[in-house]
Amino acid sequence: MTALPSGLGLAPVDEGGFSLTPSLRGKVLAVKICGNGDMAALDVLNRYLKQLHREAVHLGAAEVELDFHELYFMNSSCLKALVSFIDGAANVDKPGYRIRFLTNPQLFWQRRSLEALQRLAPEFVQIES
Amino acid sequence: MPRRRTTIGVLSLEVANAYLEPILDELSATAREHQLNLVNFVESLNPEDLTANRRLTTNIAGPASVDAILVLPLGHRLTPEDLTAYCQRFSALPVCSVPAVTTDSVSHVRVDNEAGLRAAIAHLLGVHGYRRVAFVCGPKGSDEAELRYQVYRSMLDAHGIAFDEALVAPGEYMIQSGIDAVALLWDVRGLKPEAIVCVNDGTAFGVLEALKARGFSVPHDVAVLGFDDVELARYVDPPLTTVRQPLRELGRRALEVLLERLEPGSLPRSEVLASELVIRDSCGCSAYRVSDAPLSSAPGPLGLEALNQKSLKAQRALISLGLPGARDSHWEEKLYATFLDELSRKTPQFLPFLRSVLDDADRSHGDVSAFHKAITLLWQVVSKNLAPDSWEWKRADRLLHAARVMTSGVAERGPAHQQVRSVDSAYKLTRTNNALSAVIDFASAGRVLAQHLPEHGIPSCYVCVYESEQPPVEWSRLVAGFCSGAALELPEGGIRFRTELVLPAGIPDSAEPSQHIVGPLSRNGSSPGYVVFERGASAGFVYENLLVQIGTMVGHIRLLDALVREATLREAAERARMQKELAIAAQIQASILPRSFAVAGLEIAAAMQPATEVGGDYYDIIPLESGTWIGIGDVAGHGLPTGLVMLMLQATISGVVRGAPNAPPSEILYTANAVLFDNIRNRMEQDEHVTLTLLHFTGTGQMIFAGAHEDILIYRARRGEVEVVQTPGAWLAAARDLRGKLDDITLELGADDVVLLYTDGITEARRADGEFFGPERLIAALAKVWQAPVQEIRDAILDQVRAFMGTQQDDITLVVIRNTPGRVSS
Repeated sequence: MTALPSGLGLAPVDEGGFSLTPSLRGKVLAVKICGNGDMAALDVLNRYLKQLHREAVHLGAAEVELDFHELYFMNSSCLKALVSFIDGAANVDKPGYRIRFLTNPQLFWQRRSLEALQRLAPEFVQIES
Repeated sequence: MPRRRTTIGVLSLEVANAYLEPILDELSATAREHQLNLVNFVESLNPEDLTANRRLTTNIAGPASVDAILVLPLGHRLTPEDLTAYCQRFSALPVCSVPAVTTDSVSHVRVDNEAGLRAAIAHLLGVHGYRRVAFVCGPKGSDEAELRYQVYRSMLDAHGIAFDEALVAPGEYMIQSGIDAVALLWDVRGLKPEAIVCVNDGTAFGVLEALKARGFSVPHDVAVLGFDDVELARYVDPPLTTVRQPLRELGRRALEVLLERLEPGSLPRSEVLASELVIRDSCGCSAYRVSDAPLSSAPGPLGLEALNQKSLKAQRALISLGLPGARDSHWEEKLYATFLDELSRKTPQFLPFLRSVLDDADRSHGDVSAFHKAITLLWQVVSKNLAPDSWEWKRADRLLHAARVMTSGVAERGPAHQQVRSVDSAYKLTRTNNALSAVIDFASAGRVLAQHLPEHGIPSCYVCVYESEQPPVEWSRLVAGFCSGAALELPEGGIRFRTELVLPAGIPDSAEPSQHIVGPLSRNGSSPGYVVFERGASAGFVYENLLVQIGTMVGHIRLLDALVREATLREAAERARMQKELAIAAQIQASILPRSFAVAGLEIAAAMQPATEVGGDYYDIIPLESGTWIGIGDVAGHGLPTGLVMLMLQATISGVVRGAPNAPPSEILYTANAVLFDNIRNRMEQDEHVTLTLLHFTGTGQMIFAGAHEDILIYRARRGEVEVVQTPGAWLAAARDLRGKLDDITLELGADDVVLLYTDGITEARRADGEFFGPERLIAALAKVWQAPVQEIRDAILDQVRAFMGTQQDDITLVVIRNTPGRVSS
């Protein structure tokens, strides 16, 4: 059993090649996502993003920060999970929290995929290198 | 089963039965003495079982398994005619029957029930003078029950008592029959019988219980008479006056008569054993009363000399009591002699000798408490012949008091020991039953049996199932079992053998005399198989209980097997149906791919390779007068739903492009997105989205595109380098309206420039060590082969990707386009 970070109802997850590590900085609920987001990670990611949304609403977070610096790969099924997360957050709890992606310019898929995500809800999703 | 020695088959309706257990015990002991094998086939039969085609355990017995057959009671409703007909099944073998039969072709050993019952009823009517005597009957159709009823009626008649039908109650040989009879006689009919004659001891136990519950005292208010003298009759309150059937002797003689039949030239014969009245308390007598003083009441000379003179008389009186014990070794004579020795101040041997006699009686299941009669008799001798207050008189008083304490102690030891054994057996059975109820397959059944049955003193056990649902069951399978402390290691499906052999050849493999019980897995007249127990030290109820539990276990295993088989078949059918549907979907998907790549000004080659039957990749080539439209995309996710969205995407793009062939690509995508979003999100209630780039080659050297997908690679022939063109924009079906989220981007293409469109199945193809193929390898590959014909470029790149990746994880699509202004490709 992994201990919950102080003040958070969200536990870190480490599935070997894929991990999610949450932290809370004031009104920013941050999750560092590392490894490879392939089919093996899909169920974990789907569950985690739903918990993340509930926790952000529960905490009244102003921003959810998703740090992709060490996320080397994400397949289309995992990207689909991200689309659902953004869609849910943007439409159900509007005007709830914003989503900020921290990206790694060295990983070309991030630029391509996350830009498309941002275009879905530019007022809501922000991308930073 | 092995036949290395004479094997006797015994047929009986059950093994846990107060009537049958003494017979079976004695058969077992006699078989051991004669070094015989004994196989007890157990099945309770009804008349209809004999004519209906049913799978009965007793039907297994035959020349292949036994040398002779002993028939014990098989069912209360069977008539002598039924039994005679059933015995014909075994006409090839010597047969001896204990129940009545109507043929001389089988031997017959029986008990004369009539004489004993006449004596008992005469005792009630004559000695006690009862006039209102009720009778509780046995099952209708039972020959013996009917005989006992007729004796009751004839004895009333003989004593001048009018028969009253109201005093007759129905019954079924059960304890409950006695309880119901009391309720009927007292509560319903309002009668007050002075005595009740019961058709058997079991019924009498029920009558005693019901009378006690109503506050009646037996025998002061009502006298009760039983029949059989089962062991419990001595221990009920009050001890039951009954008619003794010599059950152990019956078992021994029946087997001995059967063995005579195995001798060459012998013929069937009948033998009748006498029954006798056993007087205890329930009739109104005192169990320890000596009703007829065996000695003269006239006082003789006082002193030891008188006792010596009366030795012979006293010994005869002791013998006349008919007490169980070592009768052949003249124990009565020794008992009296040791008693006199004690009074003569010689060696104190009386009590030790009495103890050895009591132990003998206890071991042979005799009624130890009946020895109080002998002590009473000795006291009568003393009181008539010794002077009160003499040393001898006082010594005799102390000795006989000690003898009574000793007799009571030994008499109580039997039931106490039996109770301890019963409690222990019940505890072990609970554990065994719990373990058996958790068994889900025959492999583990053998292990559980091996672990638990030795606790019950059962050395080996075999579970067999019939192959056929309908008799005759020619073949069976040994599916589980154990011997020598270990589970049998059986092949899948067990060992097949001819049912008439009872067990497969070589099982059990022992040269020693053996005794087995073969019982059905269920008692519904059509058992799915049977269990073979090696007979151990357990009481009959243990085998009966285990039969039920093992039967239930086999039922569970077979049910589970059937469910798994059905589920597997259903799953296989479902899988086949899915495969068929997937094949159709794949066929549809493949059939809508472009078939002709002949386009003015462009050379095109393409390939699509789904990772599963149905892929989520999309590409299309639509040559129109306004130029050639080419789309490439990927539906997020995998499997059939993505394949269906891909088909929808193809139809939508194709339709919208044809409706507005000169529109900017972004306009086409706005409309297509509206259709897809509504279909996927609202109608299908799914959440697929599509990465898609739609390109319009205008035929003037321009390429206009919109929509976010993979980067476009263009080999610039003039510069000799690969240009990477990003495809900014939003994905389709991820937002309701894409207006303002897409850009139309225009590029100029030079002659022989090569455009490469692909899906992520190429760049994200992974090697076994996890490394991706990546855009760099793709760029390098294009740069290497760009001059080749487009088909060769396509094949070379795909070959390189296939060689790189371990297994294909995702759909792969590649479209190679060379700009060839003024030429038409073929």
